[in-house]
Amino acid sequence: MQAILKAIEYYLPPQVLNNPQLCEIAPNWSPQKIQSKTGIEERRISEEEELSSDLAVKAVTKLFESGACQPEDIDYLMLCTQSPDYFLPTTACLLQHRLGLRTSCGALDFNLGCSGFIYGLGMAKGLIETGQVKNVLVVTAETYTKFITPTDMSVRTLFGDASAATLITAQDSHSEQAPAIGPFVYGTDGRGAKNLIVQTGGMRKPVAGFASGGGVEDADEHVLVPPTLYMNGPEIFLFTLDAVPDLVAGICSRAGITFDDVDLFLFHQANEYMLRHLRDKIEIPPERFYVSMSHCGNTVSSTIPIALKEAHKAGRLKIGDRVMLVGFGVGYSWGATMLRWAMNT
Amino acid sequence: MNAPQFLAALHELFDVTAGSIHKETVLQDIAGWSSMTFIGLIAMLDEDFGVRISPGTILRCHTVEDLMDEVAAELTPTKMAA
Repeated sequence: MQAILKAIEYYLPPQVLNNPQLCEIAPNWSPQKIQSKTGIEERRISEEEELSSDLAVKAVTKLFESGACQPEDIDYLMLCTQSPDYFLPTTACLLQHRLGLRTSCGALDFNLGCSGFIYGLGMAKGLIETGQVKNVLVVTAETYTKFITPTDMSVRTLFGDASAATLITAQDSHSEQAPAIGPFVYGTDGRGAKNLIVQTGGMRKPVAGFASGGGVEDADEHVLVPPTLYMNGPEIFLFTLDAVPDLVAGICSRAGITFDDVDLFLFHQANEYMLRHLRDKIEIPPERFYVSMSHCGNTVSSTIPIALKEAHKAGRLKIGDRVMLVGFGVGYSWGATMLRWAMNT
Repeated sequence: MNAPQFLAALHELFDVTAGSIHKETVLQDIAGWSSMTFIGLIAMLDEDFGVRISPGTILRCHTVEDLMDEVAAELTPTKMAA
């Protein structure tokens, strides 16, 4: 028995933030400059009352409506999010009920960002190939834009909200073929935690005082507004220059393949400028390096399933193709795996 | 690395008129300096000169010449062997 990726659907909230709108906030920027430096034309922004769980329900419902599976088929639901509805309970438990999944279904959240989809695939494969379950929903959902200060262009230009739902299912294995999912390479370096962080709102810096007009002060006595995303883009970029080439080499070594064996390379869609630099640095042929983020921006853990779905829709993937997936970012956390494409056109 | 090569790379990165950036130019006074061009600068140093200079080091460089000195230090044989 082996785990295969059987279906993907994704959902973007309807509210659009495009480059001309961003330039109204920051007049020293131009739409062309934002486009050329990020590869993004528009991002989707969740409404105030629209949470990660709401986006997830929409994405999974699309999966059910596609006929790929039905609620009663699902044995296990995992939700990758860093913007959950509550500290507790687990948002995946709320989703079990809202989606009408069986009460005999396992459900958990896991807190990862840009590497999350890779980790989700790894856990789903483990659950299926150890015979615990047959059908796993790997759901990624983020509303990072709720953490973003409107005037912080370093992050507002990049991030958009989204959810993706991916069905991983058990299938009889054929030993002569490469695994449908795997092998995996993982990595972590918590020294980078400070470079992409929401400092307030957790137990270390709670924001309970805000209702009475109080603030939370950091070590330098800056008053921090409620949960706010801070990104040190240059440090993150330097991290990717160090980690990603080794990660790609690591997955090639683990899988016993060369670049010639890879039909499509699909990296976490962080920022197209950065992706092109990494592509050229690693010497990946441009025609096999897929980018799809202009319509939604950096959607954190959903970028890889969204780009996979778009590559599939664009006819860039056929049954049996080998796809390299590479995720890296907040944590720092990173991971890579190989897929043998199994979705029909 | 030589100065004209380094200055030419900076002109291209910041897309400014030829001759507007000199060794004495204050780095963060270059027209178009932003979070995005900062990332572009790290990319340019990596791609064109094969060095990875940390953002903290770049921010400590006052002028273009200070940055050139950092790149040169990274390129010295002792540093490369370390």
